[in-house]
Amino acid sequence: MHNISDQHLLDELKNRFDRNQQVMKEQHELLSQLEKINAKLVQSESVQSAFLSNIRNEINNPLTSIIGLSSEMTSGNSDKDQLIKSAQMIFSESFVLQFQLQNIFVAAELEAGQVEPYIVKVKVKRLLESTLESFQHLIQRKNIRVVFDAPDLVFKTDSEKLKTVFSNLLMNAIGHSPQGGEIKILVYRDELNNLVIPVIDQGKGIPTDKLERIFDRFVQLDTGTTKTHAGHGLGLSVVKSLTEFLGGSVDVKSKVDVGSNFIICMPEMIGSENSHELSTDGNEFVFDTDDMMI
Amino acid sequence: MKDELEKIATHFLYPSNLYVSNQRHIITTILGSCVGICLYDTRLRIGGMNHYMLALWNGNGLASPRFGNIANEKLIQQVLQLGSAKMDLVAKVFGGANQTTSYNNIGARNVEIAFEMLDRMSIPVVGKSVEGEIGRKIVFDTMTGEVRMKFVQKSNTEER
Repeated sequence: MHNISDQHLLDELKNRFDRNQQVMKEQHELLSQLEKINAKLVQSESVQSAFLSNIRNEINNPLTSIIGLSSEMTSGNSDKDQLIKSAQMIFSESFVLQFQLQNIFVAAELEAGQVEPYIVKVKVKRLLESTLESFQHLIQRKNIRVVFDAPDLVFKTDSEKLKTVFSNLLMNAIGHSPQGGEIKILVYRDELNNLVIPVIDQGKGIPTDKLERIFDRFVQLDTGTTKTHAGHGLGLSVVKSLTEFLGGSVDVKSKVDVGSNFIICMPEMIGSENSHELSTDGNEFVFDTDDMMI
Repeated sequence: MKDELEKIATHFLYPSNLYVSNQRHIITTILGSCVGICLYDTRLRIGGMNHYMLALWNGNGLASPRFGNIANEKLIQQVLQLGSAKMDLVAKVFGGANQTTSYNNIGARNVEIAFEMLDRMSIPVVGKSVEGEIGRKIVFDTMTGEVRMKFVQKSNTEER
C-alpha cells in the first residue's frame, strides 16, 4: 500500500474535478445541439405540410391555364396575334411546370441515393449559354439585363447535373429580380482549378439570420400573399445537394435591398474506377460470412 | 474467381448512394473517411450497401444518404422491403479513416453512428475494419455476404 500524500490526493481530486467539468461542458454542448435539431424538426414538420398544399397550387395552376388557353385556341375564334400570344403563354407555363417537376424528380433521386455521376468533358461556356437561352422568355418578360461571361474551357464534370444546378440558380435569380433588374454571371477558374460560377441578382436580398435556412427543403422565405416567386422551395436544396454530390460547395452572400450572390465552386471530377477486381499484391482481406475479424 | 466474377452483375457504389438488390451483385466502393455498411441477409442470401460521407443530416439540403443517419435507415429499410427479416440480418462496417485532409475527425463520427444505429436495430456486426489512416476499397458479394477489402492510398483513387 502506497502512502498517499495530501498533495497527491489534492491533485487527483483536482484532476477528477476537471474531468467532470469537461464532461459537463460536453453535455451542455450536446444538449444545445439537440435543442437546435429539435427546433428544426418541429419546423420541418410544418414546412412539409405547407409543401403539400403549395405543390398543389404550383402544379394545378399552370395546368389549369394551359388547359384554358389551349381550349380557347381550338375554338377557332382567335386571330393570329391572339394565337401567338396564347401559344407563348402555354409555352412558358409548361416550361416552368416541367422545370419544377424535374426538380422534384432530382430531389427524389438524391434522397433515394440513386444518383450516379456521368463524367464527360463539358464545354462550360456553351452549356451555360444554351441554358441561359432556354430561359430567355422569362428573362424578357421581366426585362432583365443579363451580363454573362465565361472562359472557353473544357471541364470534366457531369453536364446534366451542372445544367440542373445552373438552371436552378438562374430560376432563383430571375424569380427574385425586380423588373428591369440585372443578373451578372461571370464564370472563372480559380487558382485551385475549380470552376466558379457566381450568379448575382438585384433582388430583395436575404437577412443574415435567415441565410442558413435557404438551403433547407421546402423553405421559401417569401410566403403567403407577399410571395412573388413561383416554386416550392426545392430549387436551392437541389442546388446544394447536387453541387456537393459533384464534390463542390455553394456559398451565398446577400445584402437586404441590394441583392444576392450565389457562388458555385466545383472541382474537376476524375474518371470513375468501375473495376471490381483487386490487385493481388498481398494487401487483401477477406471478410467471409462467418468471419469475425476485428 | 476472376472468371466467375465476370459473369455476375456489378455495381460501383458512389458516395452518397446506396444499392440494394435481390439479385446477386458485386458491389464495389472506395472509402476514405466515408463509411460503408454491407448489410446481408443470411437466410435469403441478398444484401445491400451504403456509402455515406457525414454522420448526421442537419436539415440543410436534401435528406440524402450522404448522411449516416439517413443512409443507414434507408439501407435497412430497403433490405427489409425485399422481404428480409431483421433477425436474419448481419452487418459489416468499413471505412472512417482519419485522413490528413479531413478535420473534426469525420471518420470516427461516421463509424460511431454506424455502430450506434446497428446496435439500436439489434443487427449484429460480424466484420469490421474501421478508422486508421488509410482508405479502403471494398468489394461486396451480395449473395455470399463475402467482403474483400484492400487498403488503398489516396493518390490513386477517388475516395472521399
